[in-house]
Amino acid sequence: MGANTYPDPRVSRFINEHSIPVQFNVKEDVGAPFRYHAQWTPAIMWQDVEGNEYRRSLGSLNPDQFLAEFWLAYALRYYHGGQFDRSVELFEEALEFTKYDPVRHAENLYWIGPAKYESSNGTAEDLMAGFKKLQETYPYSDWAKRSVQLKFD
Amino acid sequence: MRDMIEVVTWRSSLEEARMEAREQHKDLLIDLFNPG
Repeated sequence: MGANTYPDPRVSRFINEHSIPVQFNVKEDVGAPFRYHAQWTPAIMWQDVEGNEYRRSLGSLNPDQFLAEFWLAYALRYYHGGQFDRSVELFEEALEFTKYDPVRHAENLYWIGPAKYESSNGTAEDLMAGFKKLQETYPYSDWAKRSVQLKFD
Repeated sequence: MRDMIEVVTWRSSLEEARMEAREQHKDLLIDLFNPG
């Protein structure tokens, strides 16, 4: 990723704008994989300043995959932090970056439902509308199956 | 004039990165890599 992904100006700009990036070379810091419970590299983790991890990605990502991953991480950070209105905005913006990535686009569509449902004026209809779009777009995806499972829980 | 090419400025100290993140109200992106 150091040769291809991180030098991409869209990637470098987004990283610098939205995070403080820290890098550990596992050949030099042999304890790092144990500290982070990550024995495969590249291992990318998003954490708040208290060390609470809210997303991780294992394996190499090309620039488009990385940007989609980062946008989802960014939106999920607000969702899980209880800032639902902001998370709705970010999940909507993330669609631009996930739309050509079926795995992350399906996940993105999934989370729009709960984010809208939990937002200030959210309703159960918002949740179901989000899930319906996901089920129509990616009916065989893992995320669509999770959305269908809701009615059995 | 050519635009400056922005590069990722990786930090190597977690504690310093945390302090910086706290000051700038940002989160941390941690990357474990194997140079091969």
